[in-house]
Amino acid sequence: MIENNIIDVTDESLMVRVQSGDHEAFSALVFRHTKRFYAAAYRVCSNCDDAEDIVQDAFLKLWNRPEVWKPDSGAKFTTWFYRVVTNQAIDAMRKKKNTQDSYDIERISDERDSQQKQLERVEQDAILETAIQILPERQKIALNLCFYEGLSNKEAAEIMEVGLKGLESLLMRAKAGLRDELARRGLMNEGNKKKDAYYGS
Amino acid sequence: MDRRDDAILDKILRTRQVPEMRSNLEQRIIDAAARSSMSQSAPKKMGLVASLMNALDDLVSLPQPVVSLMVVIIIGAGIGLYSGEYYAPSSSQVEVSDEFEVYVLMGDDTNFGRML
Repeated sequence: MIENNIIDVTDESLMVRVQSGDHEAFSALVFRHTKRFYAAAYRVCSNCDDAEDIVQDAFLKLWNRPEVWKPDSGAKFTTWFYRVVTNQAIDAMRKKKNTQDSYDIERISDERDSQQKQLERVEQDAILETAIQILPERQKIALNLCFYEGLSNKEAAEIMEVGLKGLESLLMRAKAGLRDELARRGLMNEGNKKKDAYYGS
Repeated sequence: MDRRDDAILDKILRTRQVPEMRSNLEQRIIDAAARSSMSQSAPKKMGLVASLMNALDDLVSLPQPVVSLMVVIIIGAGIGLYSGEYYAPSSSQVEVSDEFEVYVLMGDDTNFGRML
């Protein structure tokens, strides 16, 4: 169990303690951030098992080689760790040559929905997931970091090692690509009738 | 892309969900880290030669073992060559010991004895 005196400590202070072999500080970081980085990994690879493995590997690397995080570089721990997790997820995805078949969309369901609505929902989720997955890699990462992880453009640019303008361009192209793909698949059609009805606008 | 389209796209994007991770992932990571520290701190199995080398290292610590060894060999060879007591006996000076001669002559193999 994590002690109370560790709860208010910053990630960066915990990392300094991890660098001196403090397992409790490491546990605090794991409990604090696993869920967030699992979601980040999932959004890249769209597979629960892979996402869990990626997060576990990233944390184990952090524990075994904590010196790779440089406290004097000025980077926030989370910014740096997003880069680690995202790169690992990209590597894992390339190795696996992920296809649509491995998406875990079927696991996402809301039992309160009626069966018909649930089917529609699964279909819409599949279309959206596919549209995101077929985006070029860097556009997808930019979208994930800015839209889903809620990071500022500056932080996302730092993680992706691009300039602000470059990031904005990636985001713009990602959204344009998504809009075209969703329109092609009927989720954003002319006049937006279908999605207006579905998403209740 | 107009503003309305942008808003609709954002709305669609917001429906994207992430499945719950399996419970206990945090604990599994922490346990795996503890196991990896234990395996790193456990003494490694070594062969006999490696153990002897380690024991020797503990006894004698040389800053540059290879250089030290070469210096010792060169000094040793120098002392051996220039000490003045070094000589190579010629074949005529070599004496066969009496004991060896007696042993050969008393051998069962007479042919071997004649040869001498």
